[in-house]
Amino acid sequence: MAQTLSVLTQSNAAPMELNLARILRTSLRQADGHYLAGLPDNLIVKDTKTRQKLRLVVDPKTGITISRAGKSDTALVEGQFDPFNGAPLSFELRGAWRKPLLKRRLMRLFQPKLTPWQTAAENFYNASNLLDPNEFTIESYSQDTDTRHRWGQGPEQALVLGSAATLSHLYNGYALLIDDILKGRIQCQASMRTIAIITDATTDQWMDLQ
Amino acid sequence: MTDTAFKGEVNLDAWLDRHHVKRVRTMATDLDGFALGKYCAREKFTKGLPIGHNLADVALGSDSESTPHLGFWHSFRRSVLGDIALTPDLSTLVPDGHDPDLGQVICDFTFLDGRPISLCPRTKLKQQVQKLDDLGLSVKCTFELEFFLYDNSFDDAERKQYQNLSPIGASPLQTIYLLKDSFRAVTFMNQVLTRLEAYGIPWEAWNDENGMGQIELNLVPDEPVVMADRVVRTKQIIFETAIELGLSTTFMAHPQPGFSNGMHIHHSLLRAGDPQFYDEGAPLHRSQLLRHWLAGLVTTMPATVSYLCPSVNSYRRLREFAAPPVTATWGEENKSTGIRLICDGPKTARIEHRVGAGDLNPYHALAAILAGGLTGLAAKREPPPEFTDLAWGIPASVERLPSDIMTAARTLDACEALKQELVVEDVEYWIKSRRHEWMTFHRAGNDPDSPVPGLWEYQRYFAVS
Repeated sequence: MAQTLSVLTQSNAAPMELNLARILRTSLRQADGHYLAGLPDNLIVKDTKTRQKLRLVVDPKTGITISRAGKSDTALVEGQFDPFNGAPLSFELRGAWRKPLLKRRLMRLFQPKLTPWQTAAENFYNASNLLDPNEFTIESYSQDTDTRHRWGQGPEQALVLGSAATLSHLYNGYALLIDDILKGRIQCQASMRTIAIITDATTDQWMDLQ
Repeated sequence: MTDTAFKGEVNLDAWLDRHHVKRVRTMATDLDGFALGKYCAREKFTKGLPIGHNLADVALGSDSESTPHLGFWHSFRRSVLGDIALTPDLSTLVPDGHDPDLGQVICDFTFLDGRPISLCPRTKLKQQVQKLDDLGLSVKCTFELEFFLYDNSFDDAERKQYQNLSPIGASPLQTIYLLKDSFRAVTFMNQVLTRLEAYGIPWEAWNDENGMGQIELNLVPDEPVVMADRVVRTKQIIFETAIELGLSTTFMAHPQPGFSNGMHIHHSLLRAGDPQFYDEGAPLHRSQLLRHWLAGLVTTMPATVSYLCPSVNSYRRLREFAAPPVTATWGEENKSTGIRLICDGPKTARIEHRVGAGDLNPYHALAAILAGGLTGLAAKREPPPEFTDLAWGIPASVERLPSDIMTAARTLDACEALKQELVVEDVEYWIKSRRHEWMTFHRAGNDPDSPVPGLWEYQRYFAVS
């Protein structure tokens, strides 16, 4: 069923829309499409940072179409949809607190399960067409869980250090490497070129271009 | 017209002495078309020749706020932060004229051993000119520069957050060619024209344009690299003159609601100095070369938009019935199509490419246009039918040009023929630089649907475009 469901954005979609579309695609894959049942067919979400509103037209048979909503549309879901936050979306229902089932469905839709960071890292590096395992050796290490992941066997070395949660967000497509480095969430020892290329790959993943 | 350019005299020192040059300003444009360079002591300048002086490699790998491109890569860059060179083209060395001790020279970004960097916009244009030269062809072209002139200093404009500025003009009406408006700008323009003449930049005419405080300046046609150099210098002179007179100017594509700065580009092809677009014996006098060239331009037009409209702000200009074209169309003497063909005589036949925004990089824009034309020559393609109606408000079945920076980047990415002409790695780097610009716009929380430019756009583009 999941193969028949799509998440579409308008041609001039903003990063928030693309980020949301990727998250929704992941949810639909994970749930085999079941999360769409019981949702309103017209869902307005509002980002608290930009105050922008998006309209999600939900069709359990075909999927979701995202477009910009008008300023006067009433948002059912309001929260932190900033795509550059580097973390899964956080949000709450507006005026629907008595609908726990709806809330659960929306939570599952907007917050798909995170793949464990080492598996996500393996998937990420294998999927990238910018990274060649014969050119790079990239080691990621989670300091809080003392777990590591190594990919590739090339001469260009990179060491990526962070908490398991940060690495999970990065490799699950919620963050760009350079953002995490600049914000101090991740330490990375590598050449400028290697950092740029890994960041480029994380951007592709984030935009669902891989 | 003063003609004091160095132009490869045997003795540089003698030329510098003759023109009393004690300092030399180097100048090149980055990817966004902003003029970069250094003021060099004469000794430093001459000692560094022929390669020139160093500068950080991120000068060619940064955005318009000098934020380095940390999230994507090009092979010209060093694996750590390194240097590249600005190599002077001594044929462009001129005395500034205004500053009696200053010389000014246009440069190319090169590696430290002097090899050209393909990504350098000026080098990119030279590549296309060389390809035409290999076919026995040359180009004659010119640009129409449009800009706004305000009776506010740049500092004042910034303090006012670029709102409610006072355009220079006599009339509150949005008139065009109004001589009373032009007269208000005469003092400014005379100073600009005097400096252009000192630089050896011939001009044809200037006039009051449609927007309040808007001026159009036309330069005399010449070959592509010379013309692009002249545009960069002219923009710098306009900026400096405004500073000196306590005014402000902007080439920002869409600085005020309803009116935009374009930069239309006229060009024609020549063989052994003879114009080639007009053929007395051909239908409607349109030569076969013209038809193939036109076909290439129209076919690649959607893909070239990324270079012709480089900023987020550029796309505010491409609106139906707002004067700029919105479709990949062409027509004879049709100013609503993307290309206006003027095929009225052997010496005057030319193409006016009308898509370009006021903030374009002239080297990139011309390179993309020439590359598009070259694809048409290579494929010996015939152009699509001429568009003889008004090309606005037409059915959606007529494909629209990309209307935002990311759609334009994706359209360019999908055009293999143009990517091959312009060097794939360079085009892909450019595309990623546009993605960076788009993400920077959104990171700042800007509203893409806002009908007017936000403060972020003014702060990023007003003074430096």
